[in-house]
Amino acid sequence: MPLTPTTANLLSVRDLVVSFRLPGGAMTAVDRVTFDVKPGEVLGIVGESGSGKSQILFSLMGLLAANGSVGGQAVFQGQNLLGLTPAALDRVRGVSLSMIFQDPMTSLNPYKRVGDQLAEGLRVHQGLSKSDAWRSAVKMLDRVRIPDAANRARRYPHEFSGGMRQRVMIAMSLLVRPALLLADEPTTALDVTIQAQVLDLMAELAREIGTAIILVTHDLGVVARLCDRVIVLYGGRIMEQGSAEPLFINPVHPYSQGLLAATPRLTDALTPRLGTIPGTPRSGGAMLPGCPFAPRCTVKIAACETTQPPLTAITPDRHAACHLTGAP
Amino acid sequence: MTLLQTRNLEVGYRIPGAGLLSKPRILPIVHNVNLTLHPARTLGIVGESGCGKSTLGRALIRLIAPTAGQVLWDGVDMAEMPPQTLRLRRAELQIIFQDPVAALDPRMTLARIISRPLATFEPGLTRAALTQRAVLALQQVGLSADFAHRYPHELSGGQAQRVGIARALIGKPRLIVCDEPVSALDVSIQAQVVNLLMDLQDSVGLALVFISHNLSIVRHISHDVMVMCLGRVVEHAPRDAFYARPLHPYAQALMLAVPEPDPTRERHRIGQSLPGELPSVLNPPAGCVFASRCPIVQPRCHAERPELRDFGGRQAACHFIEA
Repeated sequence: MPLTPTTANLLSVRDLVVSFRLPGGAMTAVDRVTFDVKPGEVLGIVGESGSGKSQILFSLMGLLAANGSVGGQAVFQGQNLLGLTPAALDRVRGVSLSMIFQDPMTSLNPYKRVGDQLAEGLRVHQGLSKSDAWRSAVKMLDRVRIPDAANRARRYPHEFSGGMRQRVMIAMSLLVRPALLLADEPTTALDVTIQAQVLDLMAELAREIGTAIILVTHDLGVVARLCDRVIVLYGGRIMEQGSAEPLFINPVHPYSQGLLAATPRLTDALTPRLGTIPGTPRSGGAMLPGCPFAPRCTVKIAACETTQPPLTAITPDRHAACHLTGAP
Repeated sequence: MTLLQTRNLEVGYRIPGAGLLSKPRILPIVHNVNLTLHPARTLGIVGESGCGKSTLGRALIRLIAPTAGQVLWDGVDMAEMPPQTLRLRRAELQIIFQDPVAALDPRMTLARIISRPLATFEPGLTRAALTQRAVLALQQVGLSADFAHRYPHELSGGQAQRVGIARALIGKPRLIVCDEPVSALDVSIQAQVVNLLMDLQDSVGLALVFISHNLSIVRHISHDVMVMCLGRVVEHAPRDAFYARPLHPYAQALMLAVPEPDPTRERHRIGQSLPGELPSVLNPPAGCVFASRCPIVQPRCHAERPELRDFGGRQAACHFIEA
């Protein structure tokens, strides 16, 4: 991985740190995370609760809670997102960077007609007239398969089902044809057959518009369906990253291995019991001097408790942070 | 030996009438369920939101009275049991919930939460005896004795679910209804809780009703599987037969929709999703519940509701399954 941002990347995140001031002291949620996103690529970030996966997206989007602070660099289309003034960030967010959230109901304005909410972005950021913006909004709603879009656009969010609301959110976020879409658990609140529809739609539109996606999820299945590359996050740090297919077939980090073993597949041979990772995910507290996964790791050695394993290349395509996995 | 059996079970909720002065009416939720449960066996109930799986689970242990049909516990209709008998026999029928933290009273210690059912089932126990029983239950679910004096806010989600299981276990139940018990938990914790339930089944012969939308986990824990759609059972089969070849188009659609941690396979599933959404329970279709989304739908499906039919030891409700 190049250590200086290159122009071939749409987004280059370097040593991203997110921390929060809490009554008991500072809490580091994301610790020196470095990754790149290429144009049109779908990157999955998987982790359990407390891994910091959502905070990565919030920090890029300038949406951290008031007690949060951010360090490092996130160069997106030539500018560092983390150093922008609120006004400059607004221009990026409305034009080339969008985000969708887990709960579509709380991300839509209940007092505004769905069509108006979609049209607003086009009027503010692209200067379209009211009627042109409305027409584009209806077209986009139709594109995300909202039945009877012209009439539906006049309705309010509560009149839509959960799956339709999430499709409205996708329509809204892609209306400006952003270069990068940040998606935070976009299908977690949906039923499986509706989740399948929404994932199909994201894949289709991303390909059509050429949008890159960072998809944050706890669901390894969702990553497998949609993502080209994966980052496995634990305790605010990258444990392993690489292309999706080889990583799923041959995970090298004990945490990735444990996570995959704990997720049964319909096609696996049945075993008497599921694979487990002992203990519980890290929740807050100070950073450990060693590997954040050490307290739960079944193969740890003395060094794991005292020294942080650096993220090192296993192959040109695969990086892992574990004392036990050197280069082959 | 049959532990629990339902006969043509119907469950509904009372809702306000259409007009201001009209009488309340019953909104039917679960239709015509016939199932049998044996000790040390697990029935998985699968379906999407609004399919009636939780309502059915609650009716099985008579947290909700059926609107028609029977639930037989040990061969006796629960509706016929005198209230005092039913009250005591509830020790045998327990439930654990999806949101493990919301299911625990935040102002009680875990010892009190866990031993609370004993006030009904074994009245007159001393405080020390109650705590001792709570500690035993804690150990049964893999938590140490020092949890007894903690409060729910000190627990992680997985620990809270273990406490919920400990509370269910304290009356020595023969059946536990598990209503989405792992869907709120982290992946690595889900597996721990599923394994715990399987261990308990092995050690004390518990019967389980495992309600979930997660087909992979249901496959792992269940002996029999029931698929529900809009309040109706569309397929009911032994586990291996079901997963080898689901018969009902809805069951097949569910199986394809579940994303699995296997990129090679998943790549081919993009673009395969079924369009449309299920109809509302307030406005159920006259024909098959799945007709509006079914890939093999025929005119007959909209007009005539298919009944569950036998296909050699398993059942499915579709006009167009070939035996």
